[in-house]
Amino acid sequence: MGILDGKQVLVTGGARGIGFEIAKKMAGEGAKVFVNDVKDEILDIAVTELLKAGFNAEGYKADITDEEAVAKMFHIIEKKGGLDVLVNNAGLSIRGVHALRTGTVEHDVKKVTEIGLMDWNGVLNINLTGTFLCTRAAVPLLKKSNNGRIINMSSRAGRAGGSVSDIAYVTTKAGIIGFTKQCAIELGAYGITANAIAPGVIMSEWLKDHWENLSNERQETLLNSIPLKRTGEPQEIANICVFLASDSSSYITGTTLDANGGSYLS
Amino acid sequence: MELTGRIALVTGAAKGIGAEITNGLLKKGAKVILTDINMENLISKTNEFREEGYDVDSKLLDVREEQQVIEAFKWIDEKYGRLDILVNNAGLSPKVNGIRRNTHDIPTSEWDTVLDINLKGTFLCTREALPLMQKGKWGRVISIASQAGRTGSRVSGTHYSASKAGIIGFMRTLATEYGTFGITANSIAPGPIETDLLYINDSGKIDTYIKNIPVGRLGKAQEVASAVTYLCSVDAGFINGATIDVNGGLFML
Repeated sequence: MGILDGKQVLVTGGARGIGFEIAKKMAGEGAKVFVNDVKDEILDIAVTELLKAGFNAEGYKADITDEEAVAKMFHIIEKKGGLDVLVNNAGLSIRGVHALRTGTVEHDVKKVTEIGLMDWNGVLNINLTGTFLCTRAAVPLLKKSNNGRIINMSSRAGRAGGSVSDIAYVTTKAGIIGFTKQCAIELGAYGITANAIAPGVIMSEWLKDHWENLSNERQETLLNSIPLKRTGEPQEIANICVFLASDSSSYITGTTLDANGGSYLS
Repeated sequence: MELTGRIALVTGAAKGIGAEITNGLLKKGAKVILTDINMENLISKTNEFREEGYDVDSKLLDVREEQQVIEAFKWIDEKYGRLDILVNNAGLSPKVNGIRRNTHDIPTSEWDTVLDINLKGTFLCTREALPLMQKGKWGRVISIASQAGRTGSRVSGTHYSASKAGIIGFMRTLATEYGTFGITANSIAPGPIETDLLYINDSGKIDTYIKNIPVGRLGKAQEVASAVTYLCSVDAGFINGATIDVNGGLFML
């Protein structure tokens, strides 16, 4: 028996990193999880792993910045029994968008003057417009649920900026907080809550790669800025998602939950 | 169960939100030591839980009294050897016929009482609990703040708001001090919860008030309790120095 038994969940960008941990943890708590991602190969691997673990999971390939693709995805979810929880997790930084577009990975975090418009638009499209499109399409389904939940992925960087984040990413993650508040106001009457999670330094696949390129001194300085003196694990973000998706969080809405080991206190 | 084997202490545990927090922790398997200033309420609540088969203990405690607090935690140390969870819940929001006093009418004694219970009590209990948590190399300090301490309040007085904002500051700094011992420190800021403290002497006023809450209803004490039990879980280990708002969206920060 899990605390999400009987719930249907969609996790966007759920094939890898924190998104995959969210999908896994929620499925482990008894939810049926629809895993969305833009890439076929990694989506197949993710869904296979979930099914092998005996979980109830299904994959949907869709680009969340594509209005029609999003509409189709939600149409299918509706036919498969509807939706109780939407996790708007899909998100990228300038570095990620650049890699997706060009296939080349850069290690340096670009400053405002170094960012091209195409990459800027890419980040805003995925992180903000994608969240808007999925939320808009999910609301009719969530209204039919008794406990509709929208969980958006913000970031500590959206609260306070940060040395490992670029300005487009920070802008969108701050934007997510405003988006979440307005969702809470507009959708509360339908019993739908909307909350954001603001992770601090989490050792995701993305960060691992970046972390190894930091000097020991830099790593130490970063760790010292965290009262718990350690980075977080993707599972620790997934745990919070489970709490926000569960019936335990029924009076919590419009909030941004910080999971940063104490490195930024809001 | 999630909290099996954990020993918790809840202040102001005999009534209202404190009793629900105690209930929530017990349901998750923790042993809970109830403390309260009111002996009659404390005995009857403790017995109630015991009759339901829960593992409870109790101690009469006025959190303002340093000597009492020191002795209570010494007693816990001798009896149990450690403490895993402290919930600083005891709090006071004085009203006259359900209405707060505006600042120019607050007597110094009332101001002092509110700050003594809400702030000094939190400090004293936390100070005495920390060595017991360090023994087990694990701990959760959770203090009940309030929406009144996040923004302003239309129902409680300035002493209450000052104390609750103070709690948030206290907890944030505490979060920077004991992280390496596996002890996290977080606050919960309840909004309008159906309890004795939220007594508005006018049903028309209540209706207007509720209209401003995005979820369209008052909260339940159990909904504060479920946030407390979540913060007590191992799952919440990277949440430190945070303030969790439980207010139906009435105030969003």
